[in-house]
Amino acid sequence: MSETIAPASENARLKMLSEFWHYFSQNRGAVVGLIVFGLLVLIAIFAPLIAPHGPFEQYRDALLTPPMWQEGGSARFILGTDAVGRDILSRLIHGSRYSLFIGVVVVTIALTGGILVGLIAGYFRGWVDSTIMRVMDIILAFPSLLLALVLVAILGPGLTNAMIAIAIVLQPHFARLTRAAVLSELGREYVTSARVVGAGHLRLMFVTILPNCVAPLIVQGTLSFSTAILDAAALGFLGMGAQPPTPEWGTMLADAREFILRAWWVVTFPGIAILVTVLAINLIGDGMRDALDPKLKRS
Amino acid sequence: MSLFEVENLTIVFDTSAGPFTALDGVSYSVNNGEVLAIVGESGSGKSVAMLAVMGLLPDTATVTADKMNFEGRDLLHMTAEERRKIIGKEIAMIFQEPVASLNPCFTVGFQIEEVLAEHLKLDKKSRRVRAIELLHSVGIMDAVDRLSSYPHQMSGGQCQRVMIAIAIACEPKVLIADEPTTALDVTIQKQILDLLLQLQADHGMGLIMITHDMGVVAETADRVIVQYQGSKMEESDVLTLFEAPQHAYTKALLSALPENATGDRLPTVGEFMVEQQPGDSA
Amino acid sequence: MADITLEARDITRDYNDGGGLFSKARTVQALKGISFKLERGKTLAIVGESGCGKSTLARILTMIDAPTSGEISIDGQPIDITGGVSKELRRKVQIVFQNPYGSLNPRQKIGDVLTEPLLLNTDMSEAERRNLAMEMLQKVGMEPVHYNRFPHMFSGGQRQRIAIARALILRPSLLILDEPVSALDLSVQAQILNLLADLQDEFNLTYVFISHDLTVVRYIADQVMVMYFGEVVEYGSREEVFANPQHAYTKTLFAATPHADIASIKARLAKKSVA
Repeated sequence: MSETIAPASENARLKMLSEFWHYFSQNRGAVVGLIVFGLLVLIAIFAPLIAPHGPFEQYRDALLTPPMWQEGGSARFILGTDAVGRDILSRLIHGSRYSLFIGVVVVTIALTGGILVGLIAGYFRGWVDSTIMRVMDIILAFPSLLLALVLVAILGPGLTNAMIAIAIVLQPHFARLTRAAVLSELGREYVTSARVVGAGHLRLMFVTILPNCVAPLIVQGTLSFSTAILDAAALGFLGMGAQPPTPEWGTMLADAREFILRAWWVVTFPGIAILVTVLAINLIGDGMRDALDPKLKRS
Repeated sequence: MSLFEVENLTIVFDTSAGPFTALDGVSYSVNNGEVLAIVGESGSGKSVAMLAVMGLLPDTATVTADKMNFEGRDLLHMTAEERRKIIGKEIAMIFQEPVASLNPCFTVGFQIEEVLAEHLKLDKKSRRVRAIELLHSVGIMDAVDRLSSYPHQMSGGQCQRVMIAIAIACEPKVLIADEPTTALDVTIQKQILDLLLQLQADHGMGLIMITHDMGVVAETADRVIVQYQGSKMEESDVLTLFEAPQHAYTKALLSALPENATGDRLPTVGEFMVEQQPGDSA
Repeated sequence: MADITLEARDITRDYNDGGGLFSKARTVQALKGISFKLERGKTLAIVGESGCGKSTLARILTMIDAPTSGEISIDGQPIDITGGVSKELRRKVQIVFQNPYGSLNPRQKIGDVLTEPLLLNTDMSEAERRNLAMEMLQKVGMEPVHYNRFPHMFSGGQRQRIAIARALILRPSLLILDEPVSALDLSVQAQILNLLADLQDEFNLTYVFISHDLTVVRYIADQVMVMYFGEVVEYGSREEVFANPQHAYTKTLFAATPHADIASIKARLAKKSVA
């Protein structure tokens, strides 16, 4: 009996995945974004193997070397070096690890907290809902970077604290989304059916309703990934995030502030790295939203 | 003269699972003052055919036909602009969900006058007068108040009347009604059907009634086309269809009607059709 | 003494619209005193149009909501849900909804849909649950291979079969069916009605069948109750109500139902050709 059951399950999941890919791949930008992001992940994983130099190695004889194609540049430092002689390309490559790490950690914390809070608010309604959402409104009323700055100032500068601060600031978005999705699913008949069959509160919240609220959360999670990277870069730029000599892209920008006119490459390349990463992730997020939105289904 | 002539209409959709033939070589014709009922269950392609005629299908649909004429004019090869002049004015359509088919952001009066402005180019005062006239003719007596109501403030039956008012605003030659009463209560259904027949008799329109309900067919149609899974099963006048159905599917539909039940069990389509479609049979 | 499965006495249900900043508080009386008795193995058809309160009544009978006043007893046992509903009571009443596309959790495999009631209400082992679910699945006319699929892979009729299987897996004595065939095609409707008749015989089930379609009601009902704006306007056996309707509303309903018989068609065509 079990042999006949198992293949059908694989087929069901495979079919859903291929249908998802069909819609996702219709958005060329999203596919490009996915490829770029894939490359980024590979670069991050194989960073020590790819990078020509160590990220902390200082070459005192090659301070502020221009990029390879410019006069004074050398093939040893393809993208040039910074003020203390560190190879920019290697730092960028290692920095990708930090950016991905930040994105993953922040989104995980914000998602978990936001889903829990949103579920409870949407399911129980009444004063629980009001209280929770007012707290969320208060958090949302502050400019997010400012709030993150305040939190980091309280907790102390550093990458970990920066991540926690950004996660707290991003969490209300997820809470709101989850609550909205829970509210719209609550009235559906399958929830009533589950109730009639005897499901208790916990089961209804996590097993029955939550899996159906996942689509908008995936999209928001993808977009928050890029927001997290940007915010961490901003905090790093302000000196409140990752501390030097960490090769985090935003911190690299902070170090390079004074060289904007003198040595443009120290500032530009980390900036481009941030730009490309955030753009790729946003394109993926757009593609996912189009693919996962049932109303846009064309056939 | 035949108002409406469609020959060998085929519609293929481009889906994630490959091309899907929603309609396979079906022909339709409607004359002045005639009520044609297109009967079928879900998946029969009955709505899709009329949407193709109106040009309302998405880009993923490929529409081919030997002939698709309205009063001798070729609908199939018309430009979108020429078609827009005909749709809503000479061919009109009403849909199944009346409240959802009206724009929730605008008043009923605005939506009726929109049609008048677009097709008849009336000025503001004449539009208002005509809108009140139209609401009266569809049985909404407090027309002046209703002009400034929003769709969500009205019942399903009233919204359907408004839809009908919008549809007949320009005195169309053909009115296509796509399951107009399916979402309505039984007593309201009767009122709407009576209204449609009344208007059809008064204006001499051709009425195409798309439905899955054999009862509605019996109460309204002159001629009937029975469709199943995109193909035409049978076409005849209404009395012959009920008295002496030719095709197995029609016989199955008629005997599945609870009122025709003879014994304890209702016969099912499967027991009539020799050939079953592959895949899921509900 | 007849075996009464379900008895309702003077059920009322009020909804209090607390009012907001700009409107006064209002009380809407959804049910104004409903009473009826239903014997085991029989079908009571509740007929009415939107707003008559039939869905509210369904919710009360399934113990999702409590009545504002009045009593219900199932199998002779009075119901009071204010203290929560016991497992034995849950097993007595189940419901099948109208919309086959909303009543199944899109993210739940069919096998889980069927074993969930058993998981929550019995002590059966996983193997026992699966066996029972598989048995039920086949009893409603589905295949074992459907066990691991998701709802969106099935047609409306198939989903209703799954919903029926889920409702019956706890072997309830009373099944509330809220317009179970209204959203289905005619041919599928016939199959589901046959299935329901078979299951009623096999399990000696009592049905409360809510519908607005009089042709269906005439076919399956033993008793008929017509509701209008929260009140019972007609109540009797099927033969009585259809042969001799008393209330004006019932007569209007009968007149409005489309007649698909040849005599009516001939009459209509004759009238048309004269006009």
